[in-house]
Amino acid sequence: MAFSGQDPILAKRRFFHAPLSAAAYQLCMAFFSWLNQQGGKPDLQIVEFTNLTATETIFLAGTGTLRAVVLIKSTTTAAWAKFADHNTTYTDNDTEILKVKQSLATTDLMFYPKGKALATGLVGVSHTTGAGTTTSAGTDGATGVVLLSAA
Amino acid sequence: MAFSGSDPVLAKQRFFNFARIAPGIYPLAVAFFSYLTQNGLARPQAENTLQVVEFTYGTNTAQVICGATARLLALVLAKPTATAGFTKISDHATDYSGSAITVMLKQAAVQTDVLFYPKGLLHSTGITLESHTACDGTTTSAAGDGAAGVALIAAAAAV
Repeated sequence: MAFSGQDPILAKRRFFHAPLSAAAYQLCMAFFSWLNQQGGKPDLQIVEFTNLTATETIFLAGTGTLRAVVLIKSTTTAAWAKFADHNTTYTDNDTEILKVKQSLATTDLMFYPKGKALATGLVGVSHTTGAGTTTSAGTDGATGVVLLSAA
Repeated sequence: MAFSGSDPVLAKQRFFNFARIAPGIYPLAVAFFSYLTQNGLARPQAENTLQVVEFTYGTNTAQVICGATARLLALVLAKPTATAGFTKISDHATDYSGSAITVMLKQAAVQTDVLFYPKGLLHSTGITLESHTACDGTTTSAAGDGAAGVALIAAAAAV
């Protein structure tokens, strides 16, 4: 879907419904505080996702701005969460904007305070290697939340 | 070099010498060190647990963040130009290895972005950094196009 923002206070409430770790909670509190005080208080969109695999999860179909990615990993099997600036398809080429390895049951976070412009959209997948495309099994792929704002 | 920890208070000071230049990063770094202080890795009695490694503008000449096993806790990337650059981190002691890539981040604007691993991402061999002009290539980012930044690392056993 195209970007569909909501009031940042409502977005914050929804964002914090995610099962955040103690560290993630503190970081996200600081990030929302910064967004509201210095980051222009943009309207935001929250998109939750569950267990990424090699089948694309579409977070955004259209232009937008990526603000944060929270990756909640529940197993210790290594998985690479990969994100591409595309509205339907992940490809390992210059549309790929972020690749993060996780190998612990942990929550890891990527923040773009000024936003990462998305020209086409945002899709995510999870693979068993950084350079390959074999799907992460079952619950090995990360669950999480992405935070978006308008282009 | 292998992991060489310093007092966490000194590590924090050194980390903020870099992080302070980006207003969006500063409050996140404050929150992260607060977490580390409350949850073990940076308690005053936990000496020499953290190491701060600054790096300059990335190219396709590998910069060694750590030459042996270590955990990556935080990575701040300050992009100085709007030319797209792909910063890549790999699990290697001396060089960049595409098959051992652990983190890749595209930046195409003048901005500073940050990645946090609160429990650390274990690199079993080492941590190296390069910057390329493409995600799937190895052409070097031109001088000044690759991100400069700072990495916060911990010993491999410190989770």
